[in-house]
Amino acid sequence: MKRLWLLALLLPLAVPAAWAAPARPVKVGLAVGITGDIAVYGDPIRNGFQLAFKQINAMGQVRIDPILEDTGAGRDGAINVFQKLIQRDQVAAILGPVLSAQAFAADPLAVQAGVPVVGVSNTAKGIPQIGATVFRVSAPEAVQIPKSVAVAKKVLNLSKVVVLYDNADDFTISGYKTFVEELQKNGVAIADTITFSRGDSDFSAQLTKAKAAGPQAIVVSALAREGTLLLIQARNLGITVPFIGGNGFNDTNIITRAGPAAEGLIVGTAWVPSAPSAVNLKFYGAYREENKREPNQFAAQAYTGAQVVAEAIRRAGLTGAEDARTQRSKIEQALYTIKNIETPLGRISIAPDRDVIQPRTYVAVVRGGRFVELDVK
Amino acid sequence: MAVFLQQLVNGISLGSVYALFALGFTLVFGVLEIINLAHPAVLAVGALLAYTLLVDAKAGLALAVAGACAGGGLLGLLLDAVAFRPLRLRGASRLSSLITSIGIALILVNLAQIVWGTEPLSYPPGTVPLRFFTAGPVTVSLLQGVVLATVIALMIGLRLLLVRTRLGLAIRAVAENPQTASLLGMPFDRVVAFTFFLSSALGAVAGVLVGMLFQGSVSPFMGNTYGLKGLAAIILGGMGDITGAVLGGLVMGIGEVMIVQYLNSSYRDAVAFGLLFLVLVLRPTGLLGQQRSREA
Repeated sequence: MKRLWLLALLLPLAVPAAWAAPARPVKVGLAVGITGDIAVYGDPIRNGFQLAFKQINAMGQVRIDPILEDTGAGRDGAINVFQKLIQRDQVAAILGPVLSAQAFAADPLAVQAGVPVVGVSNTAKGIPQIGATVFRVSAPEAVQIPKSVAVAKKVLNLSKVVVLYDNADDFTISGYKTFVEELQKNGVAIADTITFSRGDSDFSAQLTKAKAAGPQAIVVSALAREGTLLLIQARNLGITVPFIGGNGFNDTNIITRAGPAAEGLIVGTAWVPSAPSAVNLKFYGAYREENKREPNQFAAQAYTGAQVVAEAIRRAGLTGAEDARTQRSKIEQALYTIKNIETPLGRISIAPDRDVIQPRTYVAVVRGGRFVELDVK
Repeated sequence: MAVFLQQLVNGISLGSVYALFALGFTLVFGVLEIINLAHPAVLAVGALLAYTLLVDAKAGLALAVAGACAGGGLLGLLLDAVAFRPLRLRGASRLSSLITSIGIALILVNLAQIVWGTEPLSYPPGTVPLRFFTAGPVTVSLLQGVVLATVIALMIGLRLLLVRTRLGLAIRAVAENPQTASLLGMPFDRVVAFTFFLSSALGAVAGVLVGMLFQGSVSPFMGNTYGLKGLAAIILGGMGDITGAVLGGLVMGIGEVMIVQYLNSSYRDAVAFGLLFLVLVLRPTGLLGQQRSREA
């Protein structure tokens, strides 16, 4: 009798939920570079998205139809994909693109069409300022780098560094500027500033020059491919001082490829594998199961982005029958209401300026072939 | 001084890679006056073939280089048969060949992405002897020496082939005047096919050496940087001239490195291409090129 009573109490709760389950899935565009030289980021990002939507659709509160499109590594590819997703597929929201440079090029199209975009890996300055429908869940470098510099200064007792950066990419230039600001604030002298370009393979000239300046550490703003080559070639030229990298270095593949040359590399990161929350454990386990490899920061951020969009769709109460315009504006409004949701990145919120608020970010160092958190003693 | 010497070593090393790429590039130009923009893609495929041989077939380094060389050569034959020969038969303009070569490059790079994936690869540790020689403050790796020696050996070998052998004579005759050569009984298409074979085999070897020199750089996109720089090197040295290509490559390499050291690293490409501009204005035939000469 008692049990029946309990059932009667629960029944009204269960029924509306079942009714509210949307008739048609809501279309979400995934603009990811899975070919081209940025696939090192695009691969884990795609895997993160796919895992998240699989789990979300299995839970049944919302039904989402993710449409994956390959942007390649360039700006033009991102623009084409955005056009296709917005015009032809009539998606309700877009996740991506991978590079900040691509976001600056393609996001304005979405802003014009009123389509909400959630960036999961764009960390350059000014991404949400592109327009009123651009959000992100990736903590900007402007937040991560100050922490990295402060911690590195304490641990390494820094007074003189050399800065190397890629002057052919919006994200690496933005990272470079932030690094310089923070180094100056912390009273660290910059002995030399040296540039290279995305696509270069030989860095011996730059590294020889850097070595001659006698720095205590080399600060680098680069993407993964160039970063890996820099690390290897530096060790071959007999450079032993540690490297301090930006978000582009946030990839366990760098450790795999650079091997011992990656030891001592310091990076600011939004995610570490050992983050102890239940959501992270669930994500970590499922990702390993699904992809037979360890997730990285980009996979975790992609998973988070998908979670945020799904939650916004749930809160907007979409049934899938609305026209695209209604869906888009309702999702946009709902995104502003995301506060303190549990993700692999911790409890995050979307600020009124559409940037992410992530209370806990990390500074990691490569020791024994793994990223571990760098402690200040 | 120490820094200057080290940078000189770096420059020669970088320049020998440009030279290696430019050798095959200039050969096709010298014979057919086609700029084969698929050459960077052939370089990448060569490097990736060697990767497969080293990693999946557990072959030794010598076998991997030979395999990449043969594979690259066969690819060259295929490209000529499928893409360039039909254009020649139709008497299409050189511009069509140029555009076709861009198309081939796109197809090859995308096929390579399907076969080998997009992540940069490294040759397995140990296959490449990582030995360093230090003379005072200057570090030279064994590999840098090997690459430079290979470039010079290939340059001399190629010259000898062109000047001393019947095949070389045929290539030069075809380069001089295709119609006359055909009338005199030269197997025009076979000579052209062989030129593509040789050029692509050289390109593939260049790819393997680049992959050895820069660990973690083997990918379908690795040729991209060399396309433009290689073109600049052969213009600098004199279009179609073998020695000029090597010289042009070395000048570009050393020039770029010295610009990074003594001027500003941001000007690296600007000055390299500025130099090219100057050469074109002051000496349009390039450093070693002679007007109307076709010594290939």
